Amino acid sequence: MNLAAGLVGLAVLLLLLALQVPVAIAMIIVAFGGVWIMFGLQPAIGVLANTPYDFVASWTLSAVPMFLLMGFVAYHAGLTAGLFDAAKLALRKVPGGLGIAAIFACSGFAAVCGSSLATAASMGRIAIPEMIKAGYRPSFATGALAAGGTIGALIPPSILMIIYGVFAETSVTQVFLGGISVGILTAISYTAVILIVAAFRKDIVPATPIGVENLNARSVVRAVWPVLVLIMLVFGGLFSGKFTATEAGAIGAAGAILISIVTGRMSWHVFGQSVLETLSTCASLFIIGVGAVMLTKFLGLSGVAGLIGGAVNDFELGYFELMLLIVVIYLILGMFMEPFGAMLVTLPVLLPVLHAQNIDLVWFGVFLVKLLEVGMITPPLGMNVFVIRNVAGQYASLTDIFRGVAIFIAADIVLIILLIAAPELSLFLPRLMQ
Amino acid sequence: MPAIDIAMRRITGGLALLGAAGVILMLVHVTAYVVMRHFASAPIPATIEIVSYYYMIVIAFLPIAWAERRGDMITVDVFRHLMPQVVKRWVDILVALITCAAYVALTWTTWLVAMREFGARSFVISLNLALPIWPGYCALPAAFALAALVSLYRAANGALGREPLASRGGAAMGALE
Repeated sequence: MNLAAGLVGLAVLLLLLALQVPVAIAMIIVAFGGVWIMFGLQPAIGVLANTPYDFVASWTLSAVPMFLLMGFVAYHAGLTAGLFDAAKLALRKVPGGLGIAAIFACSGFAAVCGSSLATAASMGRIAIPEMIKAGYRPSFATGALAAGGTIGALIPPSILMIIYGVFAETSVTQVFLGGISVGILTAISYTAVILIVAAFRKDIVPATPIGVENLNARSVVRAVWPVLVLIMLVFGGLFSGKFTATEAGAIGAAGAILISIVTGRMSWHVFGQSVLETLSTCASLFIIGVGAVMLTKFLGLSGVAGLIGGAVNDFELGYFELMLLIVVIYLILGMFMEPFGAMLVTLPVLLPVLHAQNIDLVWFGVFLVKLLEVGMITPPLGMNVFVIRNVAGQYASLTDIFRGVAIFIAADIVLIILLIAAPELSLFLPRLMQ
Repeated sequence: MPAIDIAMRRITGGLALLGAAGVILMLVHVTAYVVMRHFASAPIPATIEIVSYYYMIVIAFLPIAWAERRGDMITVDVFRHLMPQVVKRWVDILVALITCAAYVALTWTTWLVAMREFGARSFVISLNLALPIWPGYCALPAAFALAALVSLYRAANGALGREPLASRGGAAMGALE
């Protein structure tokens, strides 16, 4: 009876999501209705009554607004504009240097911002026009930046990783450390793609060297160093254990505001916009977390969580089969859902399975974020591609950008296979720092 | 009707401003806490508790009605394009009513908790400081009730064939990801 209620609950959840009921509301309704049917009204009230407060009143979760604020200030104040120039100077002699510089700049921006959309937008706006002027094929240039944006959520800070850490009850700092390796590996794989294309297809990536005549090394360094110091302060404090995640986020946000003021990039508009977007993101995000906790309780009580875990056992799914299944599920979900919804709807089902299979939750967090980020660039719903279309729509159509991003998705798939085959790739840093 | 419109905007916007104040206070408070701890060896007492039980509650819940009004809530949009216009309108009304029902349930249940905590005047002990935490509980039913009103208003607007308060897709940059 309970099992049936659980399975019907999951079906109702999918129906509500398809009707475009907000993800949070759909989970709350299914959890409340499901527990009511199984155990009566009082337990259902119990599930609803305490969860919102208990989930949100959390010191770990308070890192989210602080890192969001840091990222939005960096984005709106254009703090990292100098990164692209610095990378261009360094890579001026490399074939495909301009494209690689854009990927490097994305990685640098990722270290102050936890969102892949903001990374794609801010670097796309700067890099795409220059790349196209230099003769890059527009679909390739826009695709590279849509993909480069995903590094934003991989290299810490990462909002996805904080929420994962809270939900999976694992150390956010450890997941962050894993994120550094996977973020860097992603940047390396995209760099390899650009180098290969530059070597074989001069019609897509031109061989002409980067024009850096108007760049002066000293002024570039002067523009970049405050941000680099801020990054080192935030991560040095976080990874040495001197700051908790929240403290690192607050120091980062305060530092970003200070640098913006000193460099004359701060205005009331920039500040207000950054605070309001932080608020809007928190309001829409935390309520999904609340819904996911309720759904977890419901699935646990109904026995569905156990059933799925048992099924994985009964079919004798090994590590590789299970991972293949998970990759396929998230690649499909990523086509239709934004990453927070996809992550929080699935974790209640998945976490018990992972526990049963003794899978390292730090590793899985990093791996999951990588999978979700691939979803940001796959059609039909590829948020990063939409953002690039917004900032560079005059150069390429949506179809062009999706076409250009395909080769980077191929690189992502290779990296995902590597991560499955050699988990040490992402666990190296977390283990080293333990 | 426009008068209701203005009232809705003002009230939801007002609560969101309180939330914004929460973000700024949290930033200043935590930064000061870190600086004091490292340079004056005198951390501000009860910082972790104040952040968790006050700022976080204010940031997460007070702006909910505002976010709901602006259409910032995260949804799955794929099947919408497949629906004919007439169906879309009725689906929107249905979704607004379902959303309203969920907020009503949340209002009611968190109200019960708020009354319990208020009755007990609940507090936490941080070192030698007793910090009252019951006010935070009271913010939840208020925020959810307003969000219920916003969704109900959207359903009514849909049924009357009026333009909704906020068009979908007006989400802020970060709200999408």
